[in-house]
Amino acid sequence: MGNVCLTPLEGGEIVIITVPNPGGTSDWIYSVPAGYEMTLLSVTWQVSTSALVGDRYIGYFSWGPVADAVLYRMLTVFTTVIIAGQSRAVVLCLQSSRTNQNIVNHYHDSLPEIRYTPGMRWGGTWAGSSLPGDQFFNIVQTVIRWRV
Amino acid sequence: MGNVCFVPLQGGEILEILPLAPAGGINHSYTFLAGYEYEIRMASYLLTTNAVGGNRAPVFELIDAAANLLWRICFSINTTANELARFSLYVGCRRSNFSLIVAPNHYYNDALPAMRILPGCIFQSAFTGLNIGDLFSEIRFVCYRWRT
Repeated sequence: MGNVCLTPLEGGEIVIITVPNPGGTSDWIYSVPAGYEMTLLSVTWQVSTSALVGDRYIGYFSWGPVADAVLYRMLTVFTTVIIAGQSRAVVLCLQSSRTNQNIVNHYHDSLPEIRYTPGMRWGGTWAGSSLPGDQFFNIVQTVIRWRV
Repeated sequence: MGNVCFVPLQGGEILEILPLAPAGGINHSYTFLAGYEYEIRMASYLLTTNAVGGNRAPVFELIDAAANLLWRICFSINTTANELARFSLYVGCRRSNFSLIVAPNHYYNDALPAMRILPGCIFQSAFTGLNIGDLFSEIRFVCYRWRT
């Protein structure tokens, strides 16, 4: 092995974080805590829709810590809608290809390759299309974090 | 964990930039400041088009101080009249052309180049077919920046 370095040169620590389920019909949001910079490596969550008829659009977003009236800074919305009475999973990771709803009802896409600073946020969104009884749940993310 | 370093060895500082919006019908441009090298990791624009018919071809590009073209993306789906067109670009995005209508919004996503940018270079929209009543707003960049 010679001079091979056996510790990761990018540094940081890998942490698995479970995000609390949001209230029904709400987006979920995670904020980077003070004292860390983070890169989101992967995130998965599940989606269920009620029996109310209507198209739902789901996606994910990132936005910065600057307080202003503009909600969305960076936003992706999947091209396949979800309809009433469905269960779906969203699986995002760095460098993933996009697949909309596939044969096992998953949505896949990439994530931004960026270090997020304290106060920056990301999350999953209904893009304003949720209906009563819809729910995001089982939100699990893997991050690499550095102390700053 | 042995000798793992808990600070980001990539260095640099993370910067959120909120450029001023240009006047109606004018493309936006941002010049990177002297004394730094940058990477632009996320960018977001809202283009509100007026009722005048016609295609606005969405293009973003990076040029150097001598106006040499360094990078460009061209969406294949035009923006037309009466749209709220949200362009969200990030390093690591895997799609090249995408648009989804969640009335009245259209969403466009594509990748940004993962490259260090010299001071004096310009990141800009270069849409063709803009009408005088078309307005860019909500322009947001997240950059890495190193002192040089």
